[in-house]
Amino acid sequence: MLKKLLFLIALIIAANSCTRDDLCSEATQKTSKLVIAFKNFNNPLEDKSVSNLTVITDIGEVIVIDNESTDSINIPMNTAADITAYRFIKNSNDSVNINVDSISFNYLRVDEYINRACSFKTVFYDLNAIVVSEDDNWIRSVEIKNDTIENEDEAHINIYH
Amino acid sequence: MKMKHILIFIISITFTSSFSVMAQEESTTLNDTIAKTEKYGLRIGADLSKPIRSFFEDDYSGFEVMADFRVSKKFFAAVELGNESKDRFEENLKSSTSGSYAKVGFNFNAYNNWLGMNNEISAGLRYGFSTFKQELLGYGIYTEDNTFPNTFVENPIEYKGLTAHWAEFIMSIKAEVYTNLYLSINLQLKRKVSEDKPENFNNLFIPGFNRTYDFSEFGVGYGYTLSYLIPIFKK
Repeated sequence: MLKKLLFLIALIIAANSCTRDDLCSEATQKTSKLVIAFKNFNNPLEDKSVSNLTVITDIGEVIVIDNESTDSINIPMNTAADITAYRFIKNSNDSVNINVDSISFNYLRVDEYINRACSFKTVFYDLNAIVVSEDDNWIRSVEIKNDTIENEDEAHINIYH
Repeated sequence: MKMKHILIFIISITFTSSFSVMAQEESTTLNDTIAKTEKYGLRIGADLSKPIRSFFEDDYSGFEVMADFRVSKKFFAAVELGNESKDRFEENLKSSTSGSYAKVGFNFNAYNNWLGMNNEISAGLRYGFSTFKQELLGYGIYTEDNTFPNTFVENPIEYKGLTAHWAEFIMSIKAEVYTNLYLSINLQLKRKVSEDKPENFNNLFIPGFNRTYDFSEFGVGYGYTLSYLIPIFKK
């Protein structure tokens, strides 16, 4: 009887000491970023890299993508406002061919509970993207593929250029 | 040589005689204890660990009263009633829970007492039920990026009328420290059977069940109980 009791005490101590609850695991899906794929305007099925792309926030000018030539980017959305505006700068290292386009993304936000260690995440619904038109837009069109931003598995937006 | 033998003789005489006298006395007192009756009835008490915890922990307050009643030589019907409230103020998640609970079940005493003693080493089962409310006071939004300032939302939401049910295995050691007064420690292993989960949140604490675990239905607890036996029956 006493041995069983001691075993139970040991079991309880063991159960108490190592739990997965106190750390927010890497594998857990937190607030998702916006995934953008760049496509060829003349051949919409073809991926097309943007040369020396830099992406900065419109307010505060925080650099999110720094001078990369890529056909796909993940950028964060503001979890405290229903709009996030970015400047997409093509040829950002070239003072002659540099071209700045602005896109503002608007959406609805819903905060979802994850677990006690990770707390909450924001899911964005009804995503909309508006390209600020100017004389010389390098972005020709924007297509919303998935208007709910919940995970980063697939592109939410295609940008044709 | 002769002297030594005499000495041994004297020593043994005195010892045996004194022993026999003592034995004589003891047997008379023993006769008295045999005459002692077995007493049992309703035992009522309170868990001391909860007020102690309330005193030392700012974010906890609680109490528990208990009662048990001997239904047969080894079985006791047992009930515990309590109230607990617990705040969880984590950096990114602030919540508060409060409510009442009841636990009903039995204890089985596996300890064979000497005549006249009333100690217990027992194992028991309980059905636990709690009704409580949970408040989500504030939360941070987890982003793996600091482009935008971190968001902490303080928009308290109260989830009322929640209930939870669980089964509990309880082991306890009880000792009669003074006539009819018992001290006991117990350990509890619980398993949730069902619960009302608040929408878009979770029960981080359930009164009577203690803290919950995100990836497990089990819970643990302990108690340190002082109880008094009202000896209704004597035989």
